[in-house]
Amino acid sequence: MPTASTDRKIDRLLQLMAQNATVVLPGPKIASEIGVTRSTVWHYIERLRALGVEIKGHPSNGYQLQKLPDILAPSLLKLDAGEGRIGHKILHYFRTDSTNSVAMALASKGAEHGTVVVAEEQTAGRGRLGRVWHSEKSAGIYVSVILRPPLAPSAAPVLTLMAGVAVHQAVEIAAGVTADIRWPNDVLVGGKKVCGILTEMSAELDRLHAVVLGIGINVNHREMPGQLKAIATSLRMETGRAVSRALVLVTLLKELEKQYQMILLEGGQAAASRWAAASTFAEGKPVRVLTGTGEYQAVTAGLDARGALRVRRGDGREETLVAGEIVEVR
Amino acid sequence: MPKKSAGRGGEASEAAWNLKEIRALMDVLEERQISEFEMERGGTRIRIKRGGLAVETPQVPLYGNNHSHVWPAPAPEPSATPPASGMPAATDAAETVEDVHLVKSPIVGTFYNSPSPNAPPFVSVGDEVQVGQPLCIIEAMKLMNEIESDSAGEVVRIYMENGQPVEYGQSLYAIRPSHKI
Repeated sequence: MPTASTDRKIDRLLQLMAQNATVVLPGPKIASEIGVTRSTVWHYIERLRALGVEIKGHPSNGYQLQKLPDILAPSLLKLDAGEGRIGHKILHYFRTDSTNSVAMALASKGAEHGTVVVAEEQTAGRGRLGRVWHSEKSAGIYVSVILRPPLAPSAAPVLTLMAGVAVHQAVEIAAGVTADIRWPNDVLVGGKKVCGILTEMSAELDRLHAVVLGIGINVNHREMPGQLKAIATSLRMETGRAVSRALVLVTLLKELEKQYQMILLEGGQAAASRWAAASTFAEGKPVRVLTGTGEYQAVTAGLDARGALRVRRGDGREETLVAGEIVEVR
Repeated sequence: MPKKSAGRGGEASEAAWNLKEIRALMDVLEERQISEFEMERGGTRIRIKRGGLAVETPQVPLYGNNHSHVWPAPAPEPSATPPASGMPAATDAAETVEDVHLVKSPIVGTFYNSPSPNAPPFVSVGDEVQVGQPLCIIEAMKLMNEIESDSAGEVVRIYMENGQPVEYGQSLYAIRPSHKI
């Protein structure tokens, strides 16, 4: 990953400026602190400005941070996750292809449980089944979390519900909106998606190597591009004001840790009941079920212990959905 | 769903299979398009294959199954079983257990043979695959499990079709290890 060490240095630059927010920092001082040339410092400053970070000054008289930027650099997040917890190690990229691709590659090389990969911009954000995830620069949160749960692969799908519940909580707490979860883990505000979750697992028949939770949250998008307008929204579009991405991310990582510990302690059932408490889709919701082989109408009838969704069809038959999607029938 | 009643292997009260149960089981397999199914209860193993529906209940001892999953892994293809219709038959001699390596599903979910709906399949019958090469994706509740080949060789059989539901431990691919050729 060629950008990683550059990104570490820009993070260091940001940290330096944040620690000295009221003073003008001379270019040469910054250069020697982070170990690059003065012209590289200027280049980094320009990159930060392009992300919306307000920095006064120029190479001849030094630089000053105008206000604390909403950049997801580890030094600005103040998460302080303990050893072995989610977020104890955060890799921050200003730009990468896909945080999930980076995290899966890191996981295959032995990256620890709780490692987090976050990017300001994704050039190839991925959704399910080869779909693209719209990843506007510094407007959304693009984060992937590496988990190494002591679970059988067959018990892992409940982690996708856990991710949905954690996003739901984070969005409600950090942005003050009312959110809903559509099975299994689409978080909705005002009936539209604010979040997409792509979970990837590396496993053998009876041995789970790693699960990567890839989470994209639409935070400060001012509008959605054409075809997404009808189905997606952002926290800013719903609240009418800018929402701190750092606050959403920190809340999310803390919620994930909380939910994860609960699953280890109480089992998958805990995630299923937390999910059911947060979602209006759990029971009695008329939905259209889309499966790999067709679609039909049904009414939701609760989750089973694994987190699979039970639905009742028109003729009274019950089905238990392990895969597929549902959409609300209005 | 038959899983709840079928899963408690070995309980004395459930020891014997009766015809009604087998019929019900066959109906479910048909409905869910499960191509083969095998389980053991009270020392009796039942094995059902769709497509010509060969039902056999040989008396065999329980083989090592140290995990508690509801659906036990199917045994390797016995050479005596006629191939299911629509599947490529192994014409060049019966394949014994040593000949092919079976890649099985670690989760219950939906089988996808390609990375996206419009992409070509990861592999086809006759392809040579390497260790670590992606074969398919199994999805459960939006958890995508890319199944990689854990053996190098030739894909001799694909048990699943795109979009089909798959059970835990169900065979997905048969691979003839290249060192045998």
